[in-house]
Formats: sequence, C-alpha cells, structure tokens
Amino acid sequence: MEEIMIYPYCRAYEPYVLNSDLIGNNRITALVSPKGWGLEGGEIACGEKYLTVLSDFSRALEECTAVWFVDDEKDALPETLLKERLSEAIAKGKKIIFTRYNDAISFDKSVQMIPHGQNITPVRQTLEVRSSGPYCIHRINTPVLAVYGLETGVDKLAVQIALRRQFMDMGYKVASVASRLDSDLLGMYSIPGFMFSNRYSESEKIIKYNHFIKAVECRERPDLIIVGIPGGVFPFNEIDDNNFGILAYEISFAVSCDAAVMCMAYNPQFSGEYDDIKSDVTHRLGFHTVCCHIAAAVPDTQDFFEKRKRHLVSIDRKYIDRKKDFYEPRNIYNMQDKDSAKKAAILIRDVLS
Amino acid sequence: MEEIIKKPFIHLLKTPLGYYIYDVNCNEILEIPGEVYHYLNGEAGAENKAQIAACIDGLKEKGYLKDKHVQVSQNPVTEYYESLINHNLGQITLQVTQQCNLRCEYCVYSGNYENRGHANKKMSLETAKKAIDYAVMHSRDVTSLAISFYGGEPLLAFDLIKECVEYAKHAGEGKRISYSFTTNGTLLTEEKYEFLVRNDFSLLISLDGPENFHNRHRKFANSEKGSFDTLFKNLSNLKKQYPDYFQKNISFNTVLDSENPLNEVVNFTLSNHIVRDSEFSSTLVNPVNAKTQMRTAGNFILEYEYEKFKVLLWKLGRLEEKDISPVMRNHFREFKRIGSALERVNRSEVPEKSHRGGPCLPGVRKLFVTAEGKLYPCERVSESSRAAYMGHIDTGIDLEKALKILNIEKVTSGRCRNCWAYMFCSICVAQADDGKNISEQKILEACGSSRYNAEENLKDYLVLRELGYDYELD
Repeated sequence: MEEIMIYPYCRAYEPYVLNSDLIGNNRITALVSPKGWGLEGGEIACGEKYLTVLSDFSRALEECTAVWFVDDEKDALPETLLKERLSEAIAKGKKIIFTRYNDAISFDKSVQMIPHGQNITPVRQTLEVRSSGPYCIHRINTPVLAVYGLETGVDKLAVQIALRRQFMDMGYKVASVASRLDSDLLGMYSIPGFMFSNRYSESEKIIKYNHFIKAVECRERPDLIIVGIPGGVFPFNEIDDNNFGILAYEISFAVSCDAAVMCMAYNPQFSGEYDDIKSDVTHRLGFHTVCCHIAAAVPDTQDFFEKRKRHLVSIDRKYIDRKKDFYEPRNIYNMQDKDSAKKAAILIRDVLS
Repeated sequence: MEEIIKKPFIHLLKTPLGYYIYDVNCNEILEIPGEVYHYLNGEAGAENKAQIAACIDGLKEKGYLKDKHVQVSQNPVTEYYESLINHNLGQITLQVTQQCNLRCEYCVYSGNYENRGHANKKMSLETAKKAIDYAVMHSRDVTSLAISFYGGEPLLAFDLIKECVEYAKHAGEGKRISYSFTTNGTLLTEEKYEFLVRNDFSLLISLDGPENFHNRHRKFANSEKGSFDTLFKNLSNLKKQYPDYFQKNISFNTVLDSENPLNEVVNFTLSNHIVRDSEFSSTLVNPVNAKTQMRTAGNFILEYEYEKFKVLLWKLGRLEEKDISPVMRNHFREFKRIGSALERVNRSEVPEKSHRGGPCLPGVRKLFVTAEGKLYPCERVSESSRAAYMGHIDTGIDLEKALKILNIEKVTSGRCRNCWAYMFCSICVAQADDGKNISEQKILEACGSSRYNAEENLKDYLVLRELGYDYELD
C-alpha cells in the first residue's frame, strides 16, 4: 500500500480526493500545491478525515511513500519547479506516479528521469477487439450513458464518479470510460490516448474508440457503460471554439449513447429551461439528454469582454444548493450532493429501463 | 424614482449614410428606412404610413421594439460576489509612497485638487508583504496576477519595490506574476534599468509632449525647473542599452492640456525618434474635484476632432499608421469597445435584474492598497474617500461596502433603467464619490457626457461599418 502525495494539487483533482476510497489499497495522505496557486490551507474531505492543502513539498515528502505528479489546471507549473520536485522525490527514494500527459515533451523528459523500480504509474488500458468480420463499427449491446459538458471545468469527472457509485449501489455492474487520461487509479478506464494523437486519422480514431468500448463490454460484461466526453460539445461562439466539440463528435459516431447527462456552469439568470440546448445536442450528436448537472463555477464575464476569453471562476456550492427546489423539478441537479445524484441516477435508470 | 416608460425601448441614430434603431432589449443596431426613422422621431410629414406601419410590424414580429426595462438594479454577480473576491483577483496596486519629486499642476496629488495631496506616507514592508499574500490567496482562478506599484513617484521607493518583487517570487511560487508601474521617469538609473529588465517590468511613463508643454506642468518639487531634459536623458540611455525591452515594455501616457495646441503634441509624438514607435495612451486633464475651472484653447476641440477623424481614415486605409499620432491611435479602442459590447451580448430582452455599465468588479478586477493598508477599488479614487473605502489589508474586504460600490446604480435606479445607453455607461464610483457618499448629484453631472460619448462612439462605429470596415479582422 502506498501513501500518496498529490503534486501539484489543483481543484481538478478534487474528485480523486473525495473518492479516495476507490483508489484500491493506496491512500492519499497529502495534497501539495505551489504556494502561488492560492490553495494552501484549503480543506478537502478524504475518507473519514479532511486533508489540508500544503505548500511545503519537502516536509510533506517525509510523510509519504509515493508522489503522484498530476496535470495542471489553470496555472502552468514551471518546468524548473517540476524538475526540482521530481528530482527531490526520486532522491528520497519515493515511488512516482507520473500522469502529466498534457505536455508530451515534458512528459517524456520527466519519465526518463524516473528509475525503473520507482515508477509505479498505472499502465493505461489499451483494449482492442480483434474482429475478422466486415464490421468497422461494432454494436454496443450494453446501455451507454454519456456525460458531457458545455465546456471544460464543469465537473464532468465528478458526475461520472457520482453516477457510477449510485448505479453500483443499486446493484448494477458499471464500466466507466473517463473523460480524462489519468483515471485508472480510480478503477475506471481512462480515455484512450489515441483520441488525442495525430498519428491517426479522425476516422481511425472513431473506429478505434468503438473497438475499445466493445472490448470493455466484452471484458467487463457490465450492465451499464458510462462514457465521459472530454472538452465541450460545441463552440460557444465565433471566439470560444471549444475545439469545435470534435472529440464529442467522434465519440458520438463511435458509440450510440442511450442517455446523456449535461454538465454546465452556474448562471444566476438561468431560467431552468434547456430544451433548446438539449435539442441542439440531439441533432449534432444523437444524445438524448435526461438531466443536467450545475457546476459550482461561473463564467468570468468581464474577462470575456476584455480578453475575449471565456474562463470559469469557482463559486461556493451553497449558491446552487439554495436553488435546489427550483432546479430539481426541472431535472437539474448538483450531483456532488449524494441525494441529488441518487435522484438523477433513478431518473436515468427509468429512462434506460 | 422615475416611472418606467411603456414604449419601445430604443434609441434612434443617424449617420451621414444611414438611419438606425438601437434596440436596447435585443442590444442590436438595426438599419431602417429614413421615413421610419423620421416617423419614430416624431417628425411630421410621413407620407407612406402603410409602409412605415408594415416595417414597424415586421420588426415587432421579429422580436424587436419591446418595451421591457430592467426591473431590479442589481449586478448579476451580486449573489456570488464573495466567491469572486475570494478567488478571482487579477491585479493589486500597491501605493508604495505618496511622495513625489515633481509637482505637476494637474496631478491629483499636486494640491490643486480638493481630495488628495502629496504626503510623506510610505508603505511599510510588512504592509506590502500582507498585500502580496492577500493577492496570492485571492487569485487562484486567474492564470496570471499583476502587481503594480503606484505613487506619488514609485521610484522613490525603489528599495521597497525590489523587496516586494523578491517576496512575490517566494509567495507566488508557481504563479505567473507581472509587474508594472507608472512613473515620471526622472529617477531611472542604470541600476534600476537592470532590475526592471530582469523582472520584465512594464512601465507607463508620463510624457506630455514637446519640451515647453511638458515642462509647463511637470516641474521638480520646490523648483521651477522642468523635468523634460532629465526624462529624455534617461529614456535615451534606456533605449540605447535595452532597445528590445524599450520597444516591448515601455509605453507613455500623455495628459492633454486643452490650453495647449494639440497639433504640436501630435507633431512631436510623430517625429521624436525616441518615442515615435512606442505605444501611447492619452487623457484629458482630470476635472473631477479640481479647485479651479479648466480652460480650453480656441482650436483645441477642433484639432482633437480632426485627429479623431484621421483615426477613422487610417482604419479605412486612406491614411497610413505613420500619419496618426501615437497619442490618438488608442481612440479607436473606444468605439471598438462599443462594437464589442454589441457583438458579445445577444439576447431577446433585457433581464429582470441587471446593472448598467460603468463599475468594474471592485476588489476583483483590481484592488488598490494605500500606503497605510486601506483598500479601494482602484487608484483613481481618493484615499480619503469614505464612499470608496472597502476595508483594510489586515481584515480584508468588507463585503457590504464592496457590494454598495458594485451596485452603484441603485442610487439613480429609475433614471438608469430608462436610459438607452444603459449598456454603454462609463460612470463608476470614481466619478460618483463626493468624499463621503456615492452622490446622486455627482452621477448626474457625469451622466450627460457619458451618454454623449456613447452616442458618438456608436456613430463612429457605424460609419466605419458603413464604409466597409471589418472589425473582426482588426
């Protein structure tokens, strides 16, 4: 069993801490974030206790057996700092989990630094069906639930985990293919790396993803497959292209999803009516949206006007919880809340039944 | 409180080439036939009443010409403003000293203004560190944090600035931090250049034009000696030693004195080999709280409008950039901003709760920390103001006070909600502050010029559009 420090901790990794019981025999024991990221002192529930975000890497290193180097979210960890921290952890004989997949060049350099015996990064599953038939796309016989977001940063992973838990509690066998590359530790399949590779054509990615899901189906024989869709599903406007929702589009061709959950940012002026968006998503991707999750984040409108960039600002979840009575009759939930996630899961089950 | 007027919430606009409606609800500008314009403007003599009625009915069918007004004056972020204060601070400005080695007549600290003056107050290192810690802990959702130094003349506190930068590197480990200050440039030395270049400081240097104009106001303290020669000696050295840095990080601010002929400033900035390739911003002498009335030279307004006109010709490709004074180039941003406000907000009607343009998000976009550690929305407000005071660095922002500044519209709610220029208003607490309160009187004094500017900028925006200018490509 490893006692793991997450570095550089950022809010994108909150779902891993909140659901640390899913990390097998390992335990998350420390969260360390660079001092300048402003997270120091924050408390995150981890199992039965709370972990406080620290900034003193060296001190926290003494208390752990492994360091999990994770990807950045808003701030980019300077290369020099990464190298310094990685060297220190290696020198102290700590095991290393290295999943900073977003920067391929830095990734290769860093992984080369890690001695063979110290690297315990889980190998990402690269399942593939071997089919001799004429089919390029296989039919997935298991119900598939897609979790998609209107943009990044709207709790997609947290929703995937929350629903997975709920369905498992109901007695179903669930296979999850996450929207991120580093979810194997949570007992989920990470989205396969080929989806982000430029070695394959877009058509090849669609076929490979379909084969991957088929292989998951064959291996797990689940009652439900939850598929996380990375990024956003379509451009916001002519400036915020959201990568044109390309990956969502490809996945929608690869897998026919039977139901979907939409994740979106909070908007105080939201009327609760989202039929237009649902319908747009149905027409573009064929997803039937059953319900909606509101993330505790709002767009920074001033930044949008000045820099023409859309970025989200985190807000306290209490603002969403206050509107529970308004949202829930409209099938809008805060799925970070267990009761709400349960209601959403029942609704989805009824649709899929 | 004024009653909401139940008629189409629109504003009519006319340019030399067209007639338009600005539909406040949809936040759109619609081109209309001249006769419809005249009819809506209440001008007698409309002959084709049937056609006019058909045009108006057509607009209504498409969802235009609604009479809806905002019902409650409340900034949409009010509900979660505390979270924004806690996580989204973009810039902190430290008033490192109130001292200055110059005595510029129109400087707000010069003694010529009722609410501010130079003093001997300097920020302590302890206060500066607290301010930097505050900024780091309140900026987790922004990708970069700006730390600015303000005076007086910040270079009089150069040692403190150096200590702040060293501290910020430690306290802000892993954060992208940028540094800047506004300076009169007279205290720049080789040692300082090296430090500023190494830390990639951006400098905004005050330069009012040719020597006689600059020296007229920008004189050394207790002396009649102007500062132009000293400034230019320093600029020349800096440019010679660090030409790339000079080009990238040095910009200038020109205070346009309406008593001076504008064309001499224009010619100077176009021809001076040290500054002609640099970015400029320009402001008019600040009349708010001035003890004496500003005077305007006979030709100033004419020359100013002419230079603005040249900017339009430049954007249409009729003049080249080199023909436009750097001090005027930024004028284009004003009506581009208007265009941006039109393009970015698409809606079918105004929301129930909203707030006019003008105030920034105090304590979020920017935060000003005085030498004593008091917190204000920005450096444009007076340190003695009770209305703009938001708290102290020891205790943080007082949410109630910040909310009052954020929702400044409440003071003139009925009037604002009836105003067609609701989206384009530029009045914030800096203009509304009478020293004690947010003053309705002060807002109303500023209201006319804000609305006039909005209309003029909209027309400029439209004229360029009519003549084929493509804003998206700029």
